[in-house]
Amino acid sequence: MDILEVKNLCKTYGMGESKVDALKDVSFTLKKGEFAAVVGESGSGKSTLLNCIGALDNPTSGTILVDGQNLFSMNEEERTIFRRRNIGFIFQSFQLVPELNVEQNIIFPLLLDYRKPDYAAVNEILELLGLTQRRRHLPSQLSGGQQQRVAIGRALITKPKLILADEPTGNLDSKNSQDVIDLLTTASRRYQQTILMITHNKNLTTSVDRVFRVSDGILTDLGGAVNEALS
Amino acid sequence: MSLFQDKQVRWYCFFLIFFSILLLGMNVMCSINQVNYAKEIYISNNGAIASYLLEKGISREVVADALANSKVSETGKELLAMVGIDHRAAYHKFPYLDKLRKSSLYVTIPISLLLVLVLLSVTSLFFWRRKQLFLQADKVIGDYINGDFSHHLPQNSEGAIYQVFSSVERLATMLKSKMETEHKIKEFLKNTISDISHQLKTPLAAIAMYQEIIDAEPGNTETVKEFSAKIGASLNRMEQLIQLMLKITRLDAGSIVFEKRYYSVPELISNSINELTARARKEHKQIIVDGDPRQQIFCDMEWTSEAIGNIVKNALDHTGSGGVIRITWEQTPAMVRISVTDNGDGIAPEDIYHIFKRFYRSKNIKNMKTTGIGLGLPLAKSIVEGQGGVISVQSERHHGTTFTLSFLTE
Repeated sequence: MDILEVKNLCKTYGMGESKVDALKDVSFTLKKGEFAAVVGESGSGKSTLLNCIGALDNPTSGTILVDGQNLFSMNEEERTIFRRRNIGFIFQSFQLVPELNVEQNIIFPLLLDYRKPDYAAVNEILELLGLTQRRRHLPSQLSGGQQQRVAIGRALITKPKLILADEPTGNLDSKNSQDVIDLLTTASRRYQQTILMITHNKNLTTSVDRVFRVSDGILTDLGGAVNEALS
Repeated sequence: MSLFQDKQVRWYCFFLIFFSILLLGMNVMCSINQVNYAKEIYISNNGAIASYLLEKGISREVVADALANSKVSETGKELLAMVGIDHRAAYHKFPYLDKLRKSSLYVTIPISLLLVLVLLSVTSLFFWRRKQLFLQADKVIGDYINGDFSHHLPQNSEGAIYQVFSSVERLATMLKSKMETEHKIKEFLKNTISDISHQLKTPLAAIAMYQEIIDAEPGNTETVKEFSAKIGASLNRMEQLIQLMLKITRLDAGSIVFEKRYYSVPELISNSINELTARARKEHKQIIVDGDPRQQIFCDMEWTSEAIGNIVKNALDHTGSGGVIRITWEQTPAMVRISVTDNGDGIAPEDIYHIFKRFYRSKNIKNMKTTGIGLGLPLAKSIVEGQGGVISVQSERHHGTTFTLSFLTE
């Protein structure tokens, strides 16, 4: 089933002579449980694409449906709440709260939505990410790779329909990068979690289900059908 | 306070507060009014009594004392009772009180009624709006039950009920994907069964043919020897297929419990390639094992060996004579990664996303002799993922392929 449906998405910056087409007629769909990567040079429009899907930026034309619901037919408040409940984000710069420990950082999105955390789920995520022994550590006591793993946990805890990862390995060395990608893959399989990740490093896309390339605002599907859902 | 997150609840609570203030204000106003009126009654009643007494020639001092007196004696009470002024007397006997009673009834009752009306109507409006919300939700959930997922619950507001709706939405998404997976499972089973029967039929047909040949020439020892060896190979292939199928099915059914323990990686690798070294030597291929001998790994020995063995077997299948298969490992911050690299032909880009699919056969491989059954890599994937690990592949045409198995260390 389609979790994300992007249809004829265009984004243009500027007017007249200085007009720049950041995205040109981009269309694709993601099915539930798919882990897709978008690769492209910097400036190719991949960040713009992610920002539009995350409703952080308004497209010039086209529609984006998350689980059948149009993000841009909602008003600002509704969109904020929808985003909080349905879309998880992982950033290049981790964006953890420095005063909170690992466990508190992970349950933070639940507290924002006034929900009570389910500690069994928290423990499961900590175990999945290999953070069980570091649950009481502060972000400043962790390495970059560990911090990004906490950020993955924070994105997973609300079980969002879609996780958007913006260069999650951008600040990490190659070993930590591979760890982060592997853990995202495991999470995607374990929770049937749909993930869209952008990266400029094509070497990191070997375990994902699908790869898209963005170049000069045009998106091409490099293939990779739905991963064997039953294995 | 979390109670006020819901917009409707918040407005209703604001109304209740406003209403309570109104009620309080009205009570205060009424009692002030009544006290004023009582004062007036007191003054005019005492005035009437004093005027009468003065008229009858009672001295001013006595009247003043009488008005200031607060003691009540029995005789006084008896006198009042005699003229009919006591607790049993009806209101209309006191003209002043009667006026007070009427005026306060005429004012208080309509105001109270009005307030009650406002309270009831706003409360029913609140409940009606809530009911509409619930009915709307019920309709959408009813649609979900009937398999229609085109409408959605309102979930983009604050408040507990919208949280419930958003949970129901998630449930619906799960249900929908379950339904679609179920359909896929059916397709998958159908394809698997046809694949299996195809895989079994081919060697079976060969065996039947060989048997016929032997049957036709029972005296020719050469022929009998040659074809019975061929029968042996076919049977071997069938047995292998059935073994693999059984393993995969057991993994699928979830009846396998992985007994994870700490092992040293070299021990695991030597256990994995034990039976393959002879084959490699025979085919003039080299298996090189290289890595930190003290490295520990947390996994199930038996099954992980099976997975690595299958990958090495696959590498042997796809390298020519003189091929080199290199098994290395490294520790990263969260994982242990075992890589199996060969210098074979590599995997075509159009195949790379399919190699872990069951019975998948590349169209690019011309030499059919070397193709396996198409179950080794899917089995390896099931085993690795079943233990919470990841398997990935990287390949370059004509240069070789690397399979990487990653296991969490903690």
